[in-house]
Order: sequence, then structure tokens, then C-alpha cells
Amino acid sequence: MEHPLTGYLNSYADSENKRHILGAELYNFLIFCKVNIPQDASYDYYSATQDKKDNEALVYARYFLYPLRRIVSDPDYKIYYRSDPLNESGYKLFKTFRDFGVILKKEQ
Amino acid sequence: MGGLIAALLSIELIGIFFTLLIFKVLKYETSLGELLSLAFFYGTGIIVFELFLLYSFGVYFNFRDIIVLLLALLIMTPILFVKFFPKIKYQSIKLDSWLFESLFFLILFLVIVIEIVVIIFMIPPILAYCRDSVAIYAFKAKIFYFNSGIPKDFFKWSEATVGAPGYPLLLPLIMTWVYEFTGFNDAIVSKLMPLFFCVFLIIFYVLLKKYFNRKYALLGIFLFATMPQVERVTCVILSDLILTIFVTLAFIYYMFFLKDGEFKYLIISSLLFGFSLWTKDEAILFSGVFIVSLFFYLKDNFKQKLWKYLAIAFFIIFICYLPWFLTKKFNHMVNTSDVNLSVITFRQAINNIKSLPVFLNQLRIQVFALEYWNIFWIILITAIILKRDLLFKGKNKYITLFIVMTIAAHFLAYMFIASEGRSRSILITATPRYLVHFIGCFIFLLLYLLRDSNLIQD
Repeated sequence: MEHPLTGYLNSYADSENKRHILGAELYNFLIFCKVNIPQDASYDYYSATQDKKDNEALVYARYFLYPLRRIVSDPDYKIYYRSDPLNESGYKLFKTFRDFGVILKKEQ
Repeated sequence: MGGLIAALLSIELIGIFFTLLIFKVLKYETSLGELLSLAFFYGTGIIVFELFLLYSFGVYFNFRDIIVLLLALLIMTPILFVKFFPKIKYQSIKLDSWLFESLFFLILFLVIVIEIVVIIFMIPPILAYCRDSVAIYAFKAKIFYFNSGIPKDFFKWSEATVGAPGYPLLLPLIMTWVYEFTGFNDAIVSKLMPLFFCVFLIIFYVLLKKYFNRKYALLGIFLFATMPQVERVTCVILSDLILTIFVTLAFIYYMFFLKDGEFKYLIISSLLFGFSLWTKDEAILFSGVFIVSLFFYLKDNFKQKLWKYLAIAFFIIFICYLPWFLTKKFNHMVNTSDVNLSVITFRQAINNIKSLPVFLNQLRIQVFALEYWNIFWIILITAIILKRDLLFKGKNKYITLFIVMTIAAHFLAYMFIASEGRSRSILITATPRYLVHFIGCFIFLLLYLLRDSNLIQD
């Protein structure tokens, strides 16, 4: 972990700080999600593994994406980051982001 | 930055109003330092209590409401306390000349100043580097701010939506209050904890000076300010520091009560214990032990006032806790799935004993490892061993009783409520934070033992 003082002394702009914490790749993907998903919608988030780093990324993602609300049961959207979407019945492909991000949308 | 200063001033103003009222009723003579610094923490408690009550009555708040409230207080304070009441005696704060006469104490003073500067500048400009800061506190503050209060169905939200919904809300609510002044700015709000830390150093000094003398007070805040565990919880947004502050202050006022037997100290202490219940659930242990310890003290020393004093202390704490207790009860809330107060089994405790070596190893690391400030613990342990006779002599036994019972209660609570398989990881991450909760009380105990040895000349 980088020492917090480094971040402070570099005086990052706010967006730069978030990019620094989340990593540029995830940050850009979350921006993409925020722009494309309606603000009152719900979502669930999946990433490749369930290790500690991914869990932390989920915490930051949940914070960053609010007012989008994460729920695990029957969300409006499913966000996949570096993870292949499962064959989800009732969901269709909504958007893709480069080769590592996929958003599925619930079929009406 | 101007918004943050305005937010802090508003907390201070509300605190001064409330503290003056309490001091007036109790006929409590105070110094300016004690009044201003205690007012900050009472102000914090009052604001959180008020915001939560607004939620309970379905009232949403905004910046305009806050300004109206502050203006009303600004007008009422001088009317109430200057016109209708006699003046409270204040002692002015003087730059202590002895400080510069003694090289050793000058060095202590400079180290504290350096520590404050480091802590203020070490805070990263966003709420980062601590998962719990974001998951439990910052996220809730963001939700409350964008909803102008606590959303109606918030306490029904699942853990997937918001982390640890059953955690007490002091920190998220006070962050929301700051956001009302600064706008949503999670860079500036991260400066809140160092400010709590600095204000605490002032009141810790003032109270230790009042109980012991200036040299002990300086030594006390030196030990507190340079503790690595304290530094770590100050550099992230965690409730542990605020719990430590409330509990330490409540404990010291309780010590004044034991020393002088004056009722006013009991009231001030009970209020602080009550507000501490909004910081973290561990505060229940401190408040419970306080009531038990008070019972034994009153039974031995104030038999005729035993039930009256005990009932008043309990009532104050209960009233402070009631809104949160009812909310938790009616919403069937648990802290997290890992720490569930509603599922307490003896079998779980037996199983968790397997984690004991992990806990002891963590304790060893925190107390003796080279990267930590271990001189304090070594001095404390040495003082306890050498002065063990004092620990149970006269009124000292109530100090010892309080500390031993709270440590035992912490340990037992986690043995009973940590879910199987999770106690190990919980103990690893939580042990340093638990130590922080006790540091203020431990420092007081150490100074108490040192004073009896006359190691520092008055």
C-alpha cells in the first residue's frame, strides 16, 4: 500500500484521487456505468474473483456509484468487471466497455 | 476549507449553549479551555441526537434549517446566560512559563506539536486506505447528504446495499452535518478526525492538569499523541477515536466524582457515556461497567444516596441511547452478519476460544513489536507490577475495577458474538482498535501510579 502522505503531497484533483484508489481501468469503467445507467436504478456488481482486493473494489464501487443502489436480488442492471457474464435469463446485453466491462439490463 | 471551519464553529456554538446550560444547572465552575473543548464534544453529541430525532419524526433537514437554528442559538445564548444568569467564573489560559524552564517538558511539547502537524498532513485527501471508513461511515454520510437526512426505509436496506446498517450513526451524521456546510466534499471531511484529535488533546490536558498537575498533564497528552495505534485511527475515518474520546472524558469525570464525591461530575460523566453509545456498540460495555462500578462505589461510600445517584446516571445514559435502541429493536437490525448480537450461543464462545492464540499474538505485536510505541506499555506494566498494592487500596480499587471489567467485557463479548470462523480475522483487524479504546484510561492509571511514587515532583 502506498503511503497516504504520497497522495497528499501530490495534491491530486478529486477525480485523480478516485482514479488512484480504484485504478484507472476500474475508475473509467465505473464512470461509464454511472453515465449509462439511470440514477434511480438498482444494480449488482460482479468481478472475476472474490478475493480481498475485489471485495475492496466493490466497497469503493458501491460508494462511487451511489445514488445507484446495489441489491443482490433481481437488480435492474448487472455490472460485470473482468468477469464473464453468466447465462442470465431475464437479462439482455446493455453495454460493453472495451474488453473487460459488461452491463446487462433486465428485460421488461 | 471555509465551509469546514463554519461547520466546526456551528458544532462549537451548539455545544457551548448546551454546556453552559448544564454547567449553570450544576453550578459548575470551569476554565475557558475546559468549556470550549468539552462544548465541542457535547455539541457533536447534541447534533447527532437532534438529526436522528428529526429522522424519527420524518423531518428532512437542509442548510437553511441549520442556519435558522444557529441564529436562534446565537441570539438566545447571550440573553439566557448574560442577562438572566450570573456570570460563570472563567480562568484565563496562560502560556505556561515553566514549560520553557524545563528542557525535558519543552521537548515533550515540541514532539506533541510535530505529531499534530504530521497527523493533519498525513490524512489523504480522500476517504481512502481504509475499507471500513468508506463502507461503514463515508457511504452512509453520502446517502444521508443526498437524501437530506436518513432515507425512510434505510434501516431495512440489506448489507449488500449498505455496509453494517446496524452500526451507530454518530460519525456518518456528523459528516453529513459538515457536508451541509461544505457541499459533498469527501476530501475536506477527512480532516474531521485530526480536528477531533486536536480538540481532545486540549481537554485531556485541561482535565489531567486539574486532577494531577501541569507536568503530569503534559506527559499524559504526550503519551496519547504519540501512540501509533491512536495515530492510525486518526488518519482514517473510524469511530474508534471518537469512542475513545467520549469514554476517556467520561472516565476522567467519573474519577473526579470518586475523588470529590460531587454530584455534578457524575452528571457530566453520565452524559458523555450516553453520547458514546452513538459511536460504537462497544460503548455499551463501558457504560454497563460504569453503572456496575458506580454501584459498588456508592454502596461503600454513599449508601443513603445509592439508588438516587445510580438511577440518575442510568436514566441519563438510557435517554441518550433510547432513540437508537428503539430503532434497532423495531427494525431487527444486526451490526453485520459476522457480528450478530441476536445470535449469542455458548457453543460459539467455546469454538471461538480456538482463536485465542491469534488474539494473544496480536496483543503481543501491538504491545511489544518494534514498530509500535512500546515504551508506554512497558512503563505501564512495570508500574502495575511495582505498585500492585496500590491498585486495590482505598478508592483506587474502583479505577482498577472499571478497567479490568471493561477489558474482560470486550474480550467476552467478542468470544460470544463473533460468528464461527470469523472470530480469527475479526480479532486480527480489531485488536489494535480495541487497544485504542482503553488508552486514555490506561494513561490515567499510569499517571495515578506515578504520582503516588512521586516520580515527577509537583
